[in-house]
Amino acid sequence: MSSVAERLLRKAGITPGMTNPQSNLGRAFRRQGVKKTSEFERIASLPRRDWNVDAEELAAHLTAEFAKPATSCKRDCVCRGRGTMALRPVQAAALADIHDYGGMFGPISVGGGKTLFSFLAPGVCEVERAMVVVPANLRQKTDNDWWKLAVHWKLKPISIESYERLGRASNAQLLENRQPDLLVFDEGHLLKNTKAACTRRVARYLQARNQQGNPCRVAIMSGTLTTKSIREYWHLLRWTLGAQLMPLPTHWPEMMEWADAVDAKSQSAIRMAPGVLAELCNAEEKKAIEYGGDGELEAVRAGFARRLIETPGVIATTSQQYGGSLRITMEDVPALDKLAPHYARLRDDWQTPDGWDFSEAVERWRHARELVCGFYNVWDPRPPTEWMMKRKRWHQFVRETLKHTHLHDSEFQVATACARGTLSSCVDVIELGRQREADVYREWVAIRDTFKPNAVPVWIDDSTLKLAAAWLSKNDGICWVEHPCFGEKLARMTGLPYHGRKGLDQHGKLIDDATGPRIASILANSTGRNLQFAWSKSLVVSCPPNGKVIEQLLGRMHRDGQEADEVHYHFVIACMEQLEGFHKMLSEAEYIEGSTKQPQKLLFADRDIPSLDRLGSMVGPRWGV
Amino acid sequence: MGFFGGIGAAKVGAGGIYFLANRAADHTPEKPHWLPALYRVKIKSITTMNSRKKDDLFIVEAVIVTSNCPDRPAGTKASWVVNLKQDAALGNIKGFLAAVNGIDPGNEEAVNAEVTEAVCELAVSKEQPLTDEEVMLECTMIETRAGKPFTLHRWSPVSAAA
Repeated sequence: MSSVAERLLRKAGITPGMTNPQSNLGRAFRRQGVKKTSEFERIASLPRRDWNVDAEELAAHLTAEFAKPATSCKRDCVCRGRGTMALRPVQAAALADIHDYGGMFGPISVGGGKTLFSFLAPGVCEVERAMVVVPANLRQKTDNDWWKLAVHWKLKPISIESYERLGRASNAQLLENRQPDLLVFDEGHLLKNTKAACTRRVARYLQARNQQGNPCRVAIMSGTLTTKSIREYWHLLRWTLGAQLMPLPTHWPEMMEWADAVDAKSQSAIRMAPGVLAELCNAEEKKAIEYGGDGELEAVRAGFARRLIETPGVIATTSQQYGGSLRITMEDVPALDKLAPHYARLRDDWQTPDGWDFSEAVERWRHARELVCGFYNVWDPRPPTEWMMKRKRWHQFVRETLKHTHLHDSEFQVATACARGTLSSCVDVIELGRQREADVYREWVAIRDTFKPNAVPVWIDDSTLKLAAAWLSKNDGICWVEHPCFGEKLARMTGLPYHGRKGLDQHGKLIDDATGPRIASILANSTGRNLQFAWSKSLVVSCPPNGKVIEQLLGRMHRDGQEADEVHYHFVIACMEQLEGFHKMLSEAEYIEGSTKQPQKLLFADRDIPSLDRLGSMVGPRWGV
Repeated sequence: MGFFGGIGAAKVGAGGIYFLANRAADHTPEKPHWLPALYRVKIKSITTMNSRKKDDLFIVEAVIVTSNCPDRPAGTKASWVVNLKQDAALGNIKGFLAAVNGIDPGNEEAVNAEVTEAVCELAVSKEQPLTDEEVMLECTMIETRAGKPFTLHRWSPVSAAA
């Protein structure tokens, strides 16, 4: 930035970050691009390396060190009957980094071997107190895996905890009491939310250890560390690599400038120009930046991604760990045309079929997916009239506010602003022919907790249930469901097991130990489960439109150990919101792959899904026509 | 609403007083003879607006601190208006902003490095960071290609005058 601009900003008492990004001034700053600072110079001068170099040799060395002698094993052993196991290069490189740098940041593909790394890290780091943190629904499986792998590897005892347990109030001092010297976070994207109790407790513990001069080693891994923004893993880089080694600015405002230039969606919808980030790019990328247009963003991301993954302490897989064929197809459910009036009400009136109001687009998408499954949720019992009225008024206020402001993205943010007094919710309300002023937020808050909604599904159609049942009768595969009520009803209809919470079916059997066609909850089973040995086909009835979820879901079967020639995921896409949602996942996958070089299965797959352009030719109320 | 119903919101007009060059002793309307006028001015505001003819205007309003022009003595409020549809407009604005920020407008390298789009937007922002800054102004009268009189404004930093 020019010294004159800096002086004028000081005189004005503002910073570039304080300017409205939509204003001429805000736009002018964004056009200037990311500034060159001492932090950028620190990052640009960090050493670069390719962890693949010598990784095979290292894997052989560490295998010799930590693998137990060969034994005779059956096919269902974790070694698949070979009697012995070997480390993969990515696992060896990750172990070397946690040892050498005291931390490891691992955007490692789904199926990349993170579990064994977690168990070997304590031995490599020679620590006695190690804790591995996993999602609650994988805690039992992780414990099982430890015992299975201990047959072939010299493993130190570890404690296994879950993010959910770390987040409970009763466990607020768990880390302080146990004092782990090594923390390994598998599915580390669950630490993304800096306001979550679990994340805050981890941050507090790590800070205390640093202040004592006795830092805790930290490894964070996930096949889906980010979907939209470098903000999601900024603090994770700081925890694993520290302020000196992390390849992102340590100051939040400066990091936000980088995020505005690189992210999937700029905070203000007006992207920051690359500015000094162009210096991270190669000659071809610099030309693309100069030329401008769509190629500019791709080029900036490529330059940034390279800086990230070449940083010592970062282990990123840049090729599919398993290269088998992956096919994605879709199926419509034409019989759902009879639900046309419900779709019209959803989109035009922002109401569910029974007249309930909602205020955010994400809710519209959610209700559209429910209708595809043949039901919608109602509250039973119904709330009092006054409660409904004040809720409706509040939602109308939120909708109008979200439409006209760039500062808030959700109902929660609007409510917070009203509570703090930075946004007034006083509006004119006409009741019974009289006009009065009402503080819409305070009136809603005063009555909100007097009624607790109890959502109950109301079934209006069984076309999708029948489709799923028919598929299960013909395919030895898994029918993935988003809604437990759909899964349970389908299970009753077909007599097949439904694996819900913790991956258990109604008889207490874990999905990892099962075979044959069955039904599985996406939420409970899309992460951490090795399903490639028993299945290669999936029907996905409804999937939340999230790039991370889809990457994890595809990775359940498309991973090392899959013996089928082709893994096939067949999606039910029966409304505009589902098609748009699928393309949203595609665009998130493009961002992830572009900015972290982590290959995304969704992009790798052969896809037979209509483009968004074809939406215009898809006739019927379910498609918005 | 009556004839003057909108008067509450109306601002009192300044009457459009502009900077002038000096009239030489032998100046007449029929045979004009102008000399340069030299001012030291204090900035009161810098704004942009859209005129009734839909032209974009850049407007500097200032108070004259010192003057050698009897028609524009010290204490007079005067304006400089630039119509952005003129070819020389952005260059003139750039020169002004350089000068008011202490940069010699003739130093092209320094001007280009320092007077950025952000500086221009800051100058006209609601924060008005250039209020009360002082700058030198020399006004000379020239004739345009169409033969019409035109007051040429040449801005320079106060530090250069010292």
